[in-house]
Amino acid sequence: MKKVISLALAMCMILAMAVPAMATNLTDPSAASTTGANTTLTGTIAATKINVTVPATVAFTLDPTITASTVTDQIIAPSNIEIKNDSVVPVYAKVTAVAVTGGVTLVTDTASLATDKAAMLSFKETGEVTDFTTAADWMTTSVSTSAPYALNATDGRIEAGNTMTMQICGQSQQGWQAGDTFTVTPTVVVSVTK
Amino acid sequence: MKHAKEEKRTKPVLLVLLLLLVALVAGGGAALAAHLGGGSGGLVYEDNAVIGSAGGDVDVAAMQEMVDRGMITMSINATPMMSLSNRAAGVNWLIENPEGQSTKLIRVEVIREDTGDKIYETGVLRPGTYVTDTQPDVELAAGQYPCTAYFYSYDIETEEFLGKAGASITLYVTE
Repeated sequence: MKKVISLALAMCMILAMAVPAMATNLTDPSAASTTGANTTLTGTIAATKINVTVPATVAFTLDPTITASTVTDQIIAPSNIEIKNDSVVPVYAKVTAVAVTGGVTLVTDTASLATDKAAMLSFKETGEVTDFTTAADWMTTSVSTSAPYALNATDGRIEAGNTMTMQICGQSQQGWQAGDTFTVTPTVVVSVTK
Repeated sequence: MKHAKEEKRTKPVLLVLLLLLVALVAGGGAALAAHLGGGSGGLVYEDNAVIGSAGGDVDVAAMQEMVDRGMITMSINATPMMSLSNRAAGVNWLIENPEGQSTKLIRVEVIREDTGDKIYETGVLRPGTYVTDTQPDVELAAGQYPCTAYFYSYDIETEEFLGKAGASITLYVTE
């Protein structure tokens, strides 16, 4: 019985929908178009705003006297280094420039650490860097706008409303004295396209 | 008579207590002397020694504070536009120093990616202010201009430079 009622209701709806179409057939469409007012729909595309918070300063301590069995053994850094995307679209975060002071040379393989103050340093999403074997994991001063340093495996993509937690990894081996300081300044740039 | 008996019993007890007290004082004094000045073997201990692990304490909280202080919030139109036929209307940059960034001043430089030329520069923006509909600092023909807008942040009290970050944008200039 319920099925029957449903069918009846459905038929009523179809009929009700059909009524205006039948009524239209009773008038002259061309007459309606000449006397009716034109309606202009003006659409405005809202600006796509980038709204992102990034760290411009990152402090950490490196202890070259410790044997680096893992990528974080020598590094002590704050755990709360984040890039937050408050935009309504995903963004891509990358490093387009790296400046260093204190006589540091950034290298991308462990063999190059035999030079004084040579250091392997990475600044990527937490968990991205797992060992010292992948050269692309490590920052160099040769990164640029055309050859940027990606912050994760998806070109630094951060979904709208999400936060990327960053991690510093690395090691150095020789040429240091206690109390030496150096700075590594990566310039983080975000975009709405890769 | 009863009183004299009690006195006889109490005397040895008092003597023992007195001896214990003397022993305690002597032991405590020796320990104090060993701790402050010298041990039983005659070594002289450092008066200025500080309890703890020297050089092993890294101030992570201070590092976190430095990171927090250096955070920059960038807010800008990713696709600003300008019409040459209505140049006076300017570019809808929508460059903002949000109110939540209350401890920082910012200023912005827009750099063309193909030439490295600076095409626009704002003055310093206080928190809770924005700039838009202003003209670029150079003449531009119709076209698309991929640019990087560099945000420079400064301490609102001291105007000390805190850091720099960028946002890639594309400026559209139409006829």
